[in-house]
Amino acid sequence: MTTGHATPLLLRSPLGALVRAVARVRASVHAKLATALLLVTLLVIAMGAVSFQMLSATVRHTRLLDEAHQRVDWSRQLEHALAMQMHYTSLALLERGDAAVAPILRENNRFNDTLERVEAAAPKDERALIRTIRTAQDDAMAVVADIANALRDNRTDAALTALQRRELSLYGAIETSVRRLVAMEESRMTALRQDLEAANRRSLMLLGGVAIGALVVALVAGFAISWSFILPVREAHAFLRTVARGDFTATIVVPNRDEFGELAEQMNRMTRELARLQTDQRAAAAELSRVNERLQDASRAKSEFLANMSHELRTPLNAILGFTEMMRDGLYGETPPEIEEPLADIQTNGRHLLRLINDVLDLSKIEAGRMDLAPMDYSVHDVLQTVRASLRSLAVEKGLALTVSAPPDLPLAFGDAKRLVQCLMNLVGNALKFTHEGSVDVGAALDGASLVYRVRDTGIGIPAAQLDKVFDEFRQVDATITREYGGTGLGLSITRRFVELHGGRIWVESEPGRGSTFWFSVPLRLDDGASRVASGATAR
Amino acid sequence: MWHRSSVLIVVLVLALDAHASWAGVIVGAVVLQGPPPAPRKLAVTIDQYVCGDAKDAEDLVVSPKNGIRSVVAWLENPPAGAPGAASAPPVEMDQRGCLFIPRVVLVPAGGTVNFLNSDRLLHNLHGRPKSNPSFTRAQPKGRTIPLSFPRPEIFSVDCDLHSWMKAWVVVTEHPFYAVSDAEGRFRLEGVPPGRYKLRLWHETLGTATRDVVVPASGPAELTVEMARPGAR
Repeated sequence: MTTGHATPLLLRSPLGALVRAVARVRASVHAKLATALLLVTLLVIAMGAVSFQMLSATVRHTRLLDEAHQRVDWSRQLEHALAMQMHYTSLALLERGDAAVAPILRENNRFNDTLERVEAAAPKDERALIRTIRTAQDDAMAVVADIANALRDNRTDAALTALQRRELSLYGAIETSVRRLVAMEESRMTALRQDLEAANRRSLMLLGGVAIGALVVALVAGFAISWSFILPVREAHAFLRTVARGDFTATIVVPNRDEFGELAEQMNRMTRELARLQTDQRAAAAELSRVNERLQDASRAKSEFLANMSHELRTPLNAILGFTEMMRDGLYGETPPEIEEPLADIQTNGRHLLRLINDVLDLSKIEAGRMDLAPMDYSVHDVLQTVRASLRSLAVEKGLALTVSAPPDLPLAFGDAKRLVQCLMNLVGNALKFTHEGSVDVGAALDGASLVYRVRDTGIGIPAAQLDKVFDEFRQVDATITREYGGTGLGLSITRRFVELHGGRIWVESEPGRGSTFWFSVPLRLDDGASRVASGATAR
Repeated sequence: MWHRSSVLIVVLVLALDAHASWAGVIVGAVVLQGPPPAPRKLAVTIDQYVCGDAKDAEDLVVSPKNGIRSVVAWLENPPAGAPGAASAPPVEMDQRGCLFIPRVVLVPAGGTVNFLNSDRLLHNLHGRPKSNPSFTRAQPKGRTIPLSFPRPEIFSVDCDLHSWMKAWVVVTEHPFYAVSDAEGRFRLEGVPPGRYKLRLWHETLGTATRDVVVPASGPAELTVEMARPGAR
């Protein structure tokens, strides 16, 4: 469970334990995310509920405050109406007129009306006080009526008496009570206001607490859940890197019991399978390389055997050919005429056998990696003339023209001239062999740093399907050709090997019935390094 | 511009058994000509706790069948030898919910009207009669103000403090007075058979006069149509 990643500091705190606990919960990723979301949503809803409660409490308090305010206002109106009554009464007494009476009555009624409202709205503890005021007001109402009527009847003395004896004391009592009422309402209002403020403070703290709680829960849940996902992903990352490096013995361990846990289990299964496959594959590869080694050994042995055999074969063959020559030349006396022909047959077949053996020897040497070029400066014209000189008699025999065409100003080339001559001899020999009439042209041209040799004939040509096989060993276009034209089938193969040893390439263009053209290119100046590389690369 | 519309008088004389040779009955109904008045509210701006926020205008109250309430009907030419205004007990007019109840009272000349106040506030009675002494009296709750009026007339009573309050006092000179009820019906009893002039008065519709024949037996029935001044 230890990884090379830098573990965040938080994961080393108790939160890390929480992260692992969340990982170990046997629930799907989806369920975990949904639960967290639900939790946060519930907290937000709780926040909303608290806010709503707060708001309704505020509204309730505000209404109570408004009511208290209204009552205070009314109480003050009571005081005012009372004062105005006294004022108008005094005024009426001074003026002694009917006009001044109505305002007194109106003020009394206003007092009365306001008192009714206050009484209806009053809390219980004020009722008794208001009843006292009420009783006094009922009396005062009668006194005010009496005063008003006395004034109208011009009985000013009676009015004054009523005022002094009855109304003043009543008003005094009412005023005292109203003052008490006002004081009570004001203190009630103050208490309400304090209540409201305290409630607001409490609600605000509660709301803040819930908000912070929601935030903390959201953060912690987000952290725990996301890290419970990130950790296995990191584990998987490290694990896959290890596996990618080729260590199939690694295993991944995650605490998760969700999809990540299953994923880790799958990865482990995959790695075990990979390890098994690797073991199998290694065994197979070792087996294969052992077989390969044996095959190479066998091939080398075969080539060495062939090379040795060719050499061993050539020695007695040369003796046969030499003695035949000497017999035909009459070194052993006159040969009877009846064995002249058999001797000629021996010589012809012997030479053919020798050529075959030489070809096999060359090929064997090449295959055994023992063929080395012997590069030297040479003249391309000399090479071409050598080829022409060697094969002119054969051409003449078949009635074909053998021409040489090359630019006169070709520079001195560097390469294994002997082998190149051998290549051209093979190609021209083939051309002469497969051409019944017309001509065979051999030439060379310079193409940059390459020298391109060319042999063109007007022979039977090669079918397109066979063109890419003509350079393989023992390959002629078909078996009838072998019977008709003879040959070892090794010439083109050897030619290709020699060209490749020079670091060049060979190709052919042909049209059946019209003739073929063989090309090969070799470097104009073969350098030793290239030679060695070429020989090494082509060694089988 | 006082246009008096033509008045249709329907006098139905039905032969009913008369229970007294001289005691006939006049049974009448007063209906409004034309469409009933649109309901109207008077705004109340003071003393709303007792008086309420608005009052129905009661200057013309009509039943669903157009019967006019509070129409005063009386005989212009009372029968000779009719007794004077009876020495009846005092009539009461209350003030309740800042309304005079009833709106129209009949009181025989020399009789007394007891003005009451059932509202828990001050009212101020203010009468402006022409023939009788005028009066203005502040009135607390529960106090009764008795006032007597020696001379017959119809006059209004207001409250100085509540402008929408209005009532009418009809001081009668003989017993043959009646006030129409909510259906617009009235009844004059004990009328000896004979020809009479019937007078009708309403506070907004004005007056009307009709001839009535009281038969020897059975009631004299009549329906009087009254129209609003200005109406056709």
